[in-house]
Amino acid sequence: MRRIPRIPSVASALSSSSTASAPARSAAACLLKRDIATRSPRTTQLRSQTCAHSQRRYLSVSSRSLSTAQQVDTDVARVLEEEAAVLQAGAQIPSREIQTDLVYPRGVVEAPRSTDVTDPEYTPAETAEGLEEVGGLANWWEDPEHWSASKEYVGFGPQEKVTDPAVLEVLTRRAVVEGLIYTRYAEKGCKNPLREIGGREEMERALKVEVDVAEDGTATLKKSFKPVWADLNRPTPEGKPVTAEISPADAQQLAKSWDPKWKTISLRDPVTKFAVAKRIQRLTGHVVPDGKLFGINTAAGLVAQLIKPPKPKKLAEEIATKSELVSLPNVRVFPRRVTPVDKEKMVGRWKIIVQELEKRELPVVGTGNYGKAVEKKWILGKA
Amino acid sequence: MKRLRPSRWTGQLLLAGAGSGGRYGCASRRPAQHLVALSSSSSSSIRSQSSAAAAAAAQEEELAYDGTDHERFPPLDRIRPADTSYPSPAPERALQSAKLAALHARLSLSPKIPLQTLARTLVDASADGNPQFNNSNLAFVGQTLINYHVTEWLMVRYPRLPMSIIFSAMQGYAGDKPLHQVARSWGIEPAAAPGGEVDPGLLQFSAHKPGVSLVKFGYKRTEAEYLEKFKWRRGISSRIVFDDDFGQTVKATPGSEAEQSLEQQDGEEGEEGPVPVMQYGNADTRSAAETAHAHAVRATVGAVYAHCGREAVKNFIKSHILSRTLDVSKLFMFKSPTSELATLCAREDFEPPVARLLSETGRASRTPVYVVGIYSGKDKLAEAAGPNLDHARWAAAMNALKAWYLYSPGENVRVPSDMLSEGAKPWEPAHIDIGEVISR
Repeated sequence: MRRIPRIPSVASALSSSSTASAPARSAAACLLKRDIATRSPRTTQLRSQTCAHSQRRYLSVSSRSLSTAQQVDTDVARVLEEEAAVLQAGAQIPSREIQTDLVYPRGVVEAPRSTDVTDPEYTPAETAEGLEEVGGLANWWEDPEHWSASKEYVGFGPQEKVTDPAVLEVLTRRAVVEGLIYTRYAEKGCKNPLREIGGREEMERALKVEVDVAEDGTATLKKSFKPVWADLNRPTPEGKPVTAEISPADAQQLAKSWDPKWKTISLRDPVTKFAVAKRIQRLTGHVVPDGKLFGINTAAGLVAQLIKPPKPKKLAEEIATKSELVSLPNVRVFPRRVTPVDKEKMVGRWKIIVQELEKRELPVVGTGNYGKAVEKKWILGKA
Repeated sequence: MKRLRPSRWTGQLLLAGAGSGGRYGCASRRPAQHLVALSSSSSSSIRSQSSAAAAAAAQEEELAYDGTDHERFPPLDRIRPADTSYPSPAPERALQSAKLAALHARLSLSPKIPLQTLARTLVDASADGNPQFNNSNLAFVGQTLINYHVTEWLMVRYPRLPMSIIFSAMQGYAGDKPLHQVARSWGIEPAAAPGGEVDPGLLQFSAHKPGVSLVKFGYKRTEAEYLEKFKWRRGISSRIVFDDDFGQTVKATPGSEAEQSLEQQDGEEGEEGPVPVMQYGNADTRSAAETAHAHAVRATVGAVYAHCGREAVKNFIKSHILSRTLDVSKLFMFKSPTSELATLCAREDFEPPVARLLSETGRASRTPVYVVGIYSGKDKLAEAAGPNLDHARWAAAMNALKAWYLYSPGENVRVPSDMLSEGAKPWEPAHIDIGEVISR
């Protein structure tokens, strides 16, 4: 809901219906065009836009006030009257220069007016027909060069999800360890909770932490986890975020070196579970859905949720991998659609069809150079 | 005396590869000439029943030309061009056929019967002339078994049936038409045209080119040509001796004449003249289809015997063929029932039959009904109703004769082959009739 800063009520309170604003907008657009047309060439586009924007705002308000005068309460009416008076007096509207790194269309070069042209052979065009169109701002923001890096979307997790099973397992272990550490120190407060990824060293430090797992899944951290806590608390450095990458081969070796008991670590504590899920998103890019998160109670469950075989592109591939249909002797799964030609081949009729068509010099598949049957339209009664 | 073990004989159904040579001979052949013309590469590779040899030979060969775009639609079955040139599917392809596996399961066949053998039972001699790859041998075994079991069961179940009725009943249980129905009820579907690329689960036969298959006993009569021409009479005794199990005359060696004529036609075609239009859906093609279906059933029975033995095949025949209902009383046709009945009474030392009117209604109406009983002395042999006195008397005589002929010792009679099972109870002699009432 838009708020008009000078009026202590909501913008929609001013107009009873949204349709009332439509003519006002077009009126503002007209005025904006006139403004641009009459401006001196030296004025920058940016500034003109800022001015136009503020003027439009004034205008829209005033036109609305005309259309819905009876409904506007006394406060609003008073403010509008004051503003109308300011407009009439032609006072300068205070404007702000916007600090931005977007690329604006600066340095507009305007052609000299027809009265200023000295060339005697020059004749101004009377209609727009046949004239070359130059410039224009219609597709300005479609060009990626006009956008700066600061406007790019930066998600909480990496743009591309980690899919390798071994790497996912290693990262899950890291997330679980860091989640446990975070839970331990959560009361003390973390300046930068579970945000920092860190480099290779930070990852190795986190993976070196040893965990004792009890029968019921309670995890006890051994020493050497304090540096990890320090890493988690470090403020985010400026510039490109540091990422730690581990190759699948290294990840496999690392995962084999661990006691598989770590996967029984309990995640029943909601604080730990949420911290681990958040860390997982930061490290791997996987968002664990709430519904799934509810049912995940151990580290193994989390790993199973993350490691998924890639979705097959074809139904036949899915059936070949998952279904028991493949092992049934009386069922055959074909890798592609069974075409009518295939069916004819299976019953042995196709070779005869080919033979007969070739004998008559007709195309075997398709229609060749022959069009549709002319009789068809006669039968359908189409002249 | 050593017991025979038929299950050890089945090796010849899955013959060893050509390379191994050996005991059962070489099951290989060149592709049929008329089909080679279809495939672009006429490779002279060797086919065999064992899948090992085929697996060794399976390599990336270019696919046979079939007019389709192989890049856009890669073939669903990777069949070698050599295999497509054969007149029937390669035996190793039987393992991939869903239809065949379904048929195997539907018939509750023993796992001892391999799918390759089942595939072979579906290749008729008219599709593939090579007896190593068609079902003629299995069908011969099957028909002897079926005919034996049906005959012994009919003889024991209805000991007084005249021979002509036994022939008809045999035809009704084990002839081509009923076995065609059995095949249809098993879900055996025919292929449109036989060939190496066809699904092995489909029955392969050619309706236009009868193959050479010896699937029945019998002799060719020297007077065979005149039998139809002059409507010569064939006595029952000569039918038993010369003709096949159904009392039908044996035609010329099946296929030989027809093949010759076809080959002649082929030769003529090659030089000049258009290809004759194939006739579909006439009496000949229908009977060819019936025979092919029946041979498939017989071959299946033969395969059951070859792989599972005597007891299994007996149960198989009992459950699939003898379990069918045939109303034997509908097979009779009497020319003069009253005299036949009189002959019967004279032979059996009964008093001569006398017809008596038991009741009547509407004698003067449009639809009178007379009920006539036939008496032999004080015993009433039969009675029947008819629209006039003669018809009622004839019907009563027919009923009396049918009552005599259709005598049965019971539904679950023991047959001689029951004695072959181990630990069978001692044989009680079955009722044997002295013979036919009148000679035909």
